[in-house]
Amino acid sequence: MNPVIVFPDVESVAVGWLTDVLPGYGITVPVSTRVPNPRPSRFVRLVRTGGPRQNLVVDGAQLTVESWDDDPVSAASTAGVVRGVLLAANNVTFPSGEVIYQVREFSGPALLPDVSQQPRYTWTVQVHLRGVSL
Amino acid sequence: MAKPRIVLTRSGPRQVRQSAEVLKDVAARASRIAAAAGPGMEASSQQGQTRARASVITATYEARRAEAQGRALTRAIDSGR
Repeated sequence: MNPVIVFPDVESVAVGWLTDVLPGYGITVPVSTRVPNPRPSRFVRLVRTGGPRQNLVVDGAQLTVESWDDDPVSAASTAGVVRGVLLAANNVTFPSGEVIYQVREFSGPALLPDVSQQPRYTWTVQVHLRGVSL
Repeated sequence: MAKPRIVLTRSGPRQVRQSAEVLKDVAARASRIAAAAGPGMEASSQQGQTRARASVITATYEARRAEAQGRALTRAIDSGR
């Protein structure tokens, strides 16, 4: 039987990374995979939207990021910093053992308000994470 | 022994990118993505100036809503791989 490889939960890894790093760049917004309840005016949401395995030990997780705010300018500003921090995660090894090899941009930020009409910038990246053998 | 000589035909890659086979392939990929994304997603393909290309759009209000709320089209991209 071939080795069984499992990959880290990209959403947990990315939420942890952004939560730790964003305050250092002056961005103090909730980062999660769900819309917080009660819903704040500013928040960042991450959701895995696919992405195939790249090879035996590297996952190619497709991660869609959303930056919400009361006005489009603020949403774009937060999106810019979040985007930069995510793209800076190349070759990062976390204390818990997860390794991000590379973050590639799949699509750049676009203004896509949802049905609530709250401004939201959204974009998608592909995160290459190393898996581990069970 | 003579050194091998490689001559690149610069127009070759463009001919491949504009070939009927590539157009058929990208059209099929777009159709798979549209089908996986759900109702109201519309696939189209065309021969561009330098390459064949295809796209999938949210053609109805319901499709736009499905993408805005649940990322129906974004989640379906893998169907085109």
